[in-house]
Amino acid sequence: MSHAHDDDLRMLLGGYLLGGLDPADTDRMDAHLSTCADCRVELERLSPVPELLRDGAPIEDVGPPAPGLVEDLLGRMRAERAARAARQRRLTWAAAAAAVLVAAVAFGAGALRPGGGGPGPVAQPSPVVSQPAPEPSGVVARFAGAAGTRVAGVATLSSRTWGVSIALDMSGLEGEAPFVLRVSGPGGATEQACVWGSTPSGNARVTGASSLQLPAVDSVEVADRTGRVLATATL
Amino acid sequence: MTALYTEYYGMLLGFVLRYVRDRHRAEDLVQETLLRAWRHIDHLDTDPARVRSYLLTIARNVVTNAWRAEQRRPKLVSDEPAVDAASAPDSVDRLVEGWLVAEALGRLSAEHRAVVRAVYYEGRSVAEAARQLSVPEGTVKSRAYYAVRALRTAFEEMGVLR
Repeated sequence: MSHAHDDDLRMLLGGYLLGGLDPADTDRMDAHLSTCADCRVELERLSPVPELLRDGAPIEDVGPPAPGLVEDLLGRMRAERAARAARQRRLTWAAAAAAVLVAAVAFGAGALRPGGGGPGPVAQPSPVVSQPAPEPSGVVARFAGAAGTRVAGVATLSSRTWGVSIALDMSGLEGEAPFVLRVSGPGGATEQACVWGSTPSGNARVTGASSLQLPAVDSVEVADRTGRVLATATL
Repeated sequence: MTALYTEYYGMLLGFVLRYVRDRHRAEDLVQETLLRAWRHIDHLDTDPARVRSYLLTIARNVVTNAWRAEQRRPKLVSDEPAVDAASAPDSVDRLVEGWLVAEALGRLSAEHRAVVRAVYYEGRSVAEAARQLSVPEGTVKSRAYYAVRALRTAFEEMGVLR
């Protein structure tokens, strides 16, 4: 009986250990192993590998995401970029308003001095001071539904001493309840503002709260139980 | 066959029962092991230690295939008494094992990893894996072999195996 080594047979050890050989190859291997001590030793040496693979089964890569999810991600990225741009604009406006205010005070003071002569009371530039965007009952932000959804609605944000109150009026909600409302602020800070269940109509009017101050709120988003974002509104 | 049966049946059943709870199922797998060994009995050594090792070799393969067929993973361990102690790993062990396996798999080439995933984790046959990966069956076989060897080396380097 020749023990001349057959590489072809030795290759079958992998399939023998991991499984997947057809009956003919399995039988060839059984036969070979009965005569080849080398291969038996090699098999013995490699046999802990399948055991370790099983005990530490890795998280499976289940392939590329569904097209809708890619759209969703792109939508969120766009929303985030828009939010950043909006914040930039707000800052610019604030700077402009401040400049106007300084000019007005300077002008007021300058105008008074010649007339009053002495150290009279400094004029109150009250009409100008009350100028910076009075936020009456709240800020309204409109939701943009994620691609592939019909979610729509508005969020009305009202400033409070403790933070911000957010009233939602949503329609077309779908996905897995419970839904959550998240509020995002500077530096990616996020707070969950409320959680609610599904409704037969897909409409929901709920009110939530967050400790973020209104001017710090960049965006609010509604997500379902799985974390899928259904709609985003940027301020 | 009778000799094989009486002499090694209990030992084989004891081995298979480590992996298969159901006694009837385990007995079926022992039968299959003995039948497969018997087909090649002419060539078989008379040294009992070698017969035992040969039978366990086949039994391991039988258990692997049975488990793969059930979309589960075989708990294959070397035929050493020490492994009995390691029966119920806690979640931390499992987490660490997960990292170790991920690390070991990460050291494989993408081609070798794909074969391990298809044949072992997804329970595909060599022929199915070959179709899925668009390579000849011989390539799947050789990659499976080199992948297992590379994994053995990786586990050694990581101190998991000696």
